[in-house]
Amino acid sequence: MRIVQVIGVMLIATLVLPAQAEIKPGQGDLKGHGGPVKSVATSPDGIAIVSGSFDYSMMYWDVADAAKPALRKRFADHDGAVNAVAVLPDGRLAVTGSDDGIVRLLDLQAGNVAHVFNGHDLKVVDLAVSPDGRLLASASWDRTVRVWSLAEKRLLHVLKGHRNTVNAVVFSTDGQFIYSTGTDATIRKWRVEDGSEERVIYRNGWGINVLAALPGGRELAFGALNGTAAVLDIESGEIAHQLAQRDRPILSVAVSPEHKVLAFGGGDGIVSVYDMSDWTPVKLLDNPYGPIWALTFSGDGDTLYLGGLDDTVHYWQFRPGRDFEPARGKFPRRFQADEGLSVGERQFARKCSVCHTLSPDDANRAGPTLYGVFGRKAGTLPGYAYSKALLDSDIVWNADTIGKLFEKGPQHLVPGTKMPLQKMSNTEERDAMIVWLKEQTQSSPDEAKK
Amino acid sequence: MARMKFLCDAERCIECNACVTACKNEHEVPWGVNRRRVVTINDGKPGERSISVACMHCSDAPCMAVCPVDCFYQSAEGVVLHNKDLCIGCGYCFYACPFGAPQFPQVGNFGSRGKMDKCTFCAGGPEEANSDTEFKKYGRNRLAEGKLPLCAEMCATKALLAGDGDQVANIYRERVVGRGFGSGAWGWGKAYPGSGS
Repeated sequence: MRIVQVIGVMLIATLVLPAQAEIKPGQGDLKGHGGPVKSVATSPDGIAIVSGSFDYSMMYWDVADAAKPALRKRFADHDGAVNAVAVLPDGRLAVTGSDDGIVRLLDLQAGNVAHVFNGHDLKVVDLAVSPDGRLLASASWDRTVRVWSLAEKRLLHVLKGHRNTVNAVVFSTDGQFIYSTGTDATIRKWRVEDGSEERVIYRNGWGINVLAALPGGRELAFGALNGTAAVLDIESGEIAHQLAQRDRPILSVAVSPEHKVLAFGGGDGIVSVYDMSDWTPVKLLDNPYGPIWALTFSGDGDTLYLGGLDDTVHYWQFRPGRDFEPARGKFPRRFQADEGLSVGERQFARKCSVCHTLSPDDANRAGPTLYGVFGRKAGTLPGYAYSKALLDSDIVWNADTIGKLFEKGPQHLVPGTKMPLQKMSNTEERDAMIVWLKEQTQSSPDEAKK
Repeated sequence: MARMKFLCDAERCIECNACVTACKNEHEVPWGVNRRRVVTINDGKPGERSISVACMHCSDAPCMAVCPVDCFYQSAEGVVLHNKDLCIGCGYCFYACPFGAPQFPQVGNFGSRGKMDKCTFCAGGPEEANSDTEFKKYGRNRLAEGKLPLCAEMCATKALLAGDGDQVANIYRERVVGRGFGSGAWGWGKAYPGSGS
């Protein structure tokens, strides 16, 4: 069954994907998110990418022509960062998991939410779809994996056993088992049929962040916080191939069964690609621009899409090898690189700007633009998906109410807001930020200061 | 000023977990959070070692580099601390840390996403030193009292050392010379590159 699927995908890819002309640096990048990119996935036919971000949204990209990627739809329905994305085998539906603890089933063609799966108590950090597309597994910091029926749109099982956050989940290639891993450093095997735990198949000592099922069904690839990147033999529970030992955690993994390549991305910015037929290294990218949160192979298996601290999903062709050039402009992002700013501007730059702009364009960030915020009634900016709490609020934003917002915290001032619980307890810094914000938002703000 | 550092001598740690208990008790850490824990590697196999791990207060702290709201700061003594008022619970530090130090409580208001908690080297936080507010948010500020972290003070085999990095390194160096073997200072080179490992 699996072989038929793989051959099918290869045929579709061959028929659909046009011959790629040489793509200039940056040309294949996916630009549009308003925050760091935490997750990426490729559709089974290879012509679409979905990406999830700190900006509370999932983006659906058409990459049939990799040189001219096009944004098809931005889904901004979650009330928190989108940590996990996956495309179903039919390519028409996708799923997202978020900091808000919710899993959403999205209809990519219709552009709407097909279903909302509620149940997790804390953030959802990974998703896996069964090979036949009928089941979904979600991994959460609430220490559980939940198994959902996508066809019946209901919860089937809650997998309990992990003693700390669950960081990753995958289905076996035959769809009969689920493997999960997390901060308790175990990889556990569960029966899909009844949700029971079969056994702990591996203990790493250090927490494990990522997991991938490898073709053939006998091995798993995993990456851990102690920098181990390895292939595990499921039956024996022994390491079959130790691929890397880094100084920083492994944060992402991607596998392309069709093209027999496996890739790991790390907190040190290193991406390493391996040939799964003999486990030799194919290419290594030493990206100095921060962690690689997310990885996925393109349909042709010669390129990786990378997510990190930037708002951009980077396109990197590793075969034949091409140099990697980060996007120009304000990026690569440095959260701490804001020397020489006034106290107020520094507060905004470091604590607010990741979610808000000061220009009319909100740049798809997680929060609404603050352009003209002074004197504006809360929850009234057209086009932004406010929480009900803010829509129902009578607050008018001014120095006093913004001061209270950060003195007492958003949840205290407007219970139910989706703004993160953040306070600025230093009165001097808070006041300086408000004065600076008022200047910037009332006197023809500079477009450059997004 | 002294640069504070931790060192765990894996040749001496006997996995008694006294450091873990001392930390939880001293700081009244909430359920589900272990600022310090003992990790066993190669469990049941040749080369088995136990290592007491918490925030190592890295010289070039990866948690600081990825925090989108700038909630971390480093004290004059090199201790990496954070401001819980600013933390939005995004979890970036959780994944970026090579020691698994950042922790997130399992209980709390849903939707708040939880405030990160971690070892403070018994140095409190940005609140007034030894105030009730500081204790409730960050635990005891032993450094302000002229004391060193309790986990290391409680360690019966002195596997866990804490204090001035130069003095800690000298003690370990003398040990290695005395016993004729070493290289058990797990994580030292990773946390403090350029300090010798």
